[in-house]
Amino acid sequence: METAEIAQQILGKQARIKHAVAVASAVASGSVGDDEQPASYFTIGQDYTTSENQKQPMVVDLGSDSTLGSIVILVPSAGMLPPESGQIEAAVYFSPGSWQSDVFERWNVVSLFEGWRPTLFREYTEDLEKEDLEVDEGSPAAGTIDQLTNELRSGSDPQLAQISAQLETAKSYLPSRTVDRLKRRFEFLFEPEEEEEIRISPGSVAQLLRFLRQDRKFRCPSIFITDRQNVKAIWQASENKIFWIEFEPSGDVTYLAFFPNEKRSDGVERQSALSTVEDVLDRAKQAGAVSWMRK
Amino acid sequence: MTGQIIPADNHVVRTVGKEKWDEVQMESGTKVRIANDEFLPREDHPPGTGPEESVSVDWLEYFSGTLPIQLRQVRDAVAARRPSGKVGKQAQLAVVVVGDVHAAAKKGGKQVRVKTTGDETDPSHSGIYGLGPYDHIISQEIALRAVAYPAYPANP
Repeated sequence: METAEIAQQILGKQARIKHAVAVASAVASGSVGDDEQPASYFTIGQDYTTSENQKQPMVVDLGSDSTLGSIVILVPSAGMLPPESGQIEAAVYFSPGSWQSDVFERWNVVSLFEGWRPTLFREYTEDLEKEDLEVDEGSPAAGTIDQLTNELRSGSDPQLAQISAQLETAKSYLPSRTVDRLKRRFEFLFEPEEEEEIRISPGSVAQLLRFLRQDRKFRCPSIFITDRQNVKAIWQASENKIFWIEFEPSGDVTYLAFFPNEKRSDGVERQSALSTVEDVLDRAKQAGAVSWMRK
Repeated sequence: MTGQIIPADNHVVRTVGKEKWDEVQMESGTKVRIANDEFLPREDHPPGTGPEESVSVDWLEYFSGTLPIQLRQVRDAVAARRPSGKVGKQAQLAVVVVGDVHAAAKKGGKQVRVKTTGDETDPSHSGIYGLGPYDHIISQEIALRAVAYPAYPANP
């Protein structure tokens, strides 16, 4: 069955949607089901937990592929929900022809960034205009819409547009120089090359930002992309002071720590282990790495 | 054909795409560093066949001339065996002493072999054999000892 036909069956319609605007607050990016695929959507805007920002619409970028994109609210199958998450709504979309074209069937459940929350969207089939959304000129959301619209119209890489939008959101909780440095790095990675194109999981980027959010004093790490399309963030002060984290979209991480230990004959203790984005900061603290991960 | 063991005092070169190197702010200043996974075999390569047998590298001393000339020849050899026929403009060539590879592996409790692949049409092509896809500590030790040079230097 063609992807479009599957879409029609499940969605009951075939929409040509470029953007969707969340009309209720409380959505963030996340990973998908138990397949650890990147999130299929993310929100734009400021910290949506504040009452002030709940007045701002949140925009979901469906990528630059205008041939097909749909978004729907559905109740995922209970078997794929995490324990005790209950029957709640989740959103999915797909866009055949884009880099995500082959994952629709698996993307019927979305685990949200920080818990499971209901979401509603208003769909837009045309380019976003600030007037349509009744966004205040000069507001963060207006800036984001400008950026998204320009990027989509310029035909830039949809992955970069998505990551740029994630970083735009991060400006509300990370130092601007960290966000700017990350943005420059991702733009560099997406510059056209003769070699095969680079793919980066937006879900992995979301987990990186989630980690950085825990301590505003962190200096911006160096960023590498793994063969699994994950972001690996590295802080290295010297040859015996290294801490890196590879972020899976699911929130799982692999980390490595090299840190001084005078009791060892070579003076360096080395660890590598599997953990989670919630716990890895504690591992960094135990390794004494936080001091040199900061400015 | 059986590969030739590369002497410990020789060097191997890993060609590194731009997603696997970055500038790192160290106490001693900003340096180009290579991601450790560049020195790990891939988990499943070719796809569906399981872990890669070795880490693909080139034997620097197979080529003669000064270091820049040797590196240019490595770059050309890598490009020639790729389907695209090219090496990315932003790629780096990570040079590491073979003895350092052995020492890093030994520190992690492993023994590796660094040898040519035995391909007569591509004699510099070599591999680091004996590592697994999750040998993060060993690969990090190797990456620490790698010295990076732009594949396309500004002033060749």
